Amino acid sequence: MNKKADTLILEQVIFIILNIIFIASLMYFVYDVGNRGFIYEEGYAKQIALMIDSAEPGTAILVDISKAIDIAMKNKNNLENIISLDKKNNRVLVALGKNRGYGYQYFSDYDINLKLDANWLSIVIEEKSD
Amino acid sequence: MLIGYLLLLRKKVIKMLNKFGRQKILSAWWFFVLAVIGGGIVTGVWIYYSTGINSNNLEADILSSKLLNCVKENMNELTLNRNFEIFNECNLNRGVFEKPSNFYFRVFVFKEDELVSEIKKGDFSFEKDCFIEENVVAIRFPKCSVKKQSFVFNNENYEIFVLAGVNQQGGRLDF
Repeated sequence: MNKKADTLILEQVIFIILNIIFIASLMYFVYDVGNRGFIYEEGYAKQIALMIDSAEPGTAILVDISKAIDIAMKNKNNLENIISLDKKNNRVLVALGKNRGYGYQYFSDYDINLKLDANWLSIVIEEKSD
Repeated sequence: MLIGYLLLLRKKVIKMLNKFGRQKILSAWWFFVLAVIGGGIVTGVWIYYSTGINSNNLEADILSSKLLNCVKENMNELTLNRNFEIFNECNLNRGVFEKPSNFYFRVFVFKEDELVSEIKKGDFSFEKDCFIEENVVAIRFPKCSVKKQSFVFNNENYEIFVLAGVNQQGGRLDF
């Protein structure tokens, strides 16, 4: 009788542990996907492109990119290249992982300078000099 | 709450299976339940994050505002010069409006209800597509912004009408 009861308790304990492991791994999966680079790449690229398009010449903008820097450091990416401009195609490029990134076009024709300073990205927008 | 529900479900299944003396099948059944729940959550998360952020309506709004202000500021140039260079005057990149383009705009300038100037650039097909979304759900169609403004210039009544459309999906790139 005692042996049967022990088996039942052991079975219940294993069952509960398995459930906890299962739910914890699901929660970790949801958290991990939410913190992956590709989501931030898209968000930052679109945010910067919209800022450039809505700005007037002579504007300087500071953007907090601390989250992008965290992800890039986690991926051992060179911080200098995480946000850049493809001036030929008028595109903002954000690459937080290795060799891949996200590109988004802006329609304005300005002289734009990007500079990274600690956790901030400074965007200086000037009238195009011919 | 989920664990409680699963325990209850398990008890019911044990009770049902005990009637037939087949309790061993429980593990297979249980893993099936876990697979369904896990699969559902993974699919849900994948659908949620693959949808992306659509900022086309914001961009169309910025483009139409920019054009409206620019044309209004350059009315002298526009009325005197037939070859009004909208790209230079409004700081727009000529390249992004060449086909295939993700952008489109059309500007009308009326003087006392008479059309004095019309400029359109970009992908002309957007103009029709802009208004399809009013009747049906069209996810990959352009988002558009319409703006108009009346004002007095050289003691005459003018009206500017701007339609701007953007259909940019963005994309992942290999470097």
